[in-house]
Amino acid sequence: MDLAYLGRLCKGDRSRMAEYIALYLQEAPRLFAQLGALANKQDAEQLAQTAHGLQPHVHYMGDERLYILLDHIQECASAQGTAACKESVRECIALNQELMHALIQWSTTDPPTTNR
Amino acid sequence: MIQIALVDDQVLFRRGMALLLRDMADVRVVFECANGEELLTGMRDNAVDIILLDVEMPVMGGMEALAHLRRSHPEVKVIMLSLHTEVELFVDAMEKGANAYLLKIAEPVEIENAIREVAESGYHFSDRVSQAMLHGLVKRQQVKPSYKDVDPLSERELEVLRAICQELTTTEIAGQLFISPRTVDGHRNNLLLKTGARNTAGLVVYAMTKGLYAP
Repeated sequence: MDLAYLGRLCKGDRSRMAEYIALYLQEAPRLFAQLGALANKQDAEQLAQTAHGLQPHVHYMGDERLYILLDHIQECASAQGTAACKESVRECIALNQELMHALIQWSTTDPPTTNR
Repeated sequence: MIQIALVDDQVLFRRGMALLLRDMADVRVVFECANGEELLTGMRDNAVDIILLDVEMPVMGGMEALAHLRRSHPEVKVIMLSLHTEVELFVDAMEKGANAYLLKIAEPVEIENAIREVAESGYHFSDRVSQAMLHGLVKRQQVKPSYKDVDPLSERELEVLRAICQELTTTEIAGQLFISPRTVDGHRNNLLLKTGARNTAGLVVYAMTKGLYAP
């Protein structure tokens, strides 16, 4: 997790960053569950599109591993079909769980204070 | 005040954009929606200057919505948003009348600049998009421009065209060429007529396609 991009998006405003992170924590489980469900169906195009749609959100959270894995799922789904993507999708879901845990920790930790 | 419509099927992405735009004092988000069909409905009741329009959406995608908008709202400016970097998409979007093409993961400051430049001068090309377009066009050499090959452009028209490609405003062009802003507008209109480009962004694509300008 690297919140530098989100910080630039929110002009360093921690409360705005918290606002976006709260929405991510709310939406991400549904979106990644959707990814998991599609990996068990035959709709490679929809799986690829769903993986593609998730990329900006994980980019905001600075999770490069997840971003690259979602890229891989798109290529894999298009070239080999959904069955070949199941392992990658499972890994994606697990990585998102880690990310969400880190985001919750960030949200519940007080920002560092400047010593004067 | 620049009135913006946000169009993306992902509410998370719209929220992210809205957070950025909240800080721009000269920008107001008029409405948000999730696809091209909802956009066209929303445009009936809202005055919008610029649309931030996702390319890939269900029901009606961005390219189809853009085609409709160019008929129903030719004056509205459109910034396409996508993660795709293929040059064909950029060129297709510009030829269909988009005013800019931005990556969804562009730096926030670039997104802000793009909105202001599109509002001011009618187009924006990021360095990345310009380079990719030029590389793709030169490499392929078979991009058939959708421009007319009619009257040759006058020397003055070429000067104005190159100044437009350098992202100069009307006032700046007028100052540089020692002509009035009204004369600049006249030349711009002649350029649009002669080249068949739909808008200023199209003029830039024309100039790059014809080798009249390289970024």
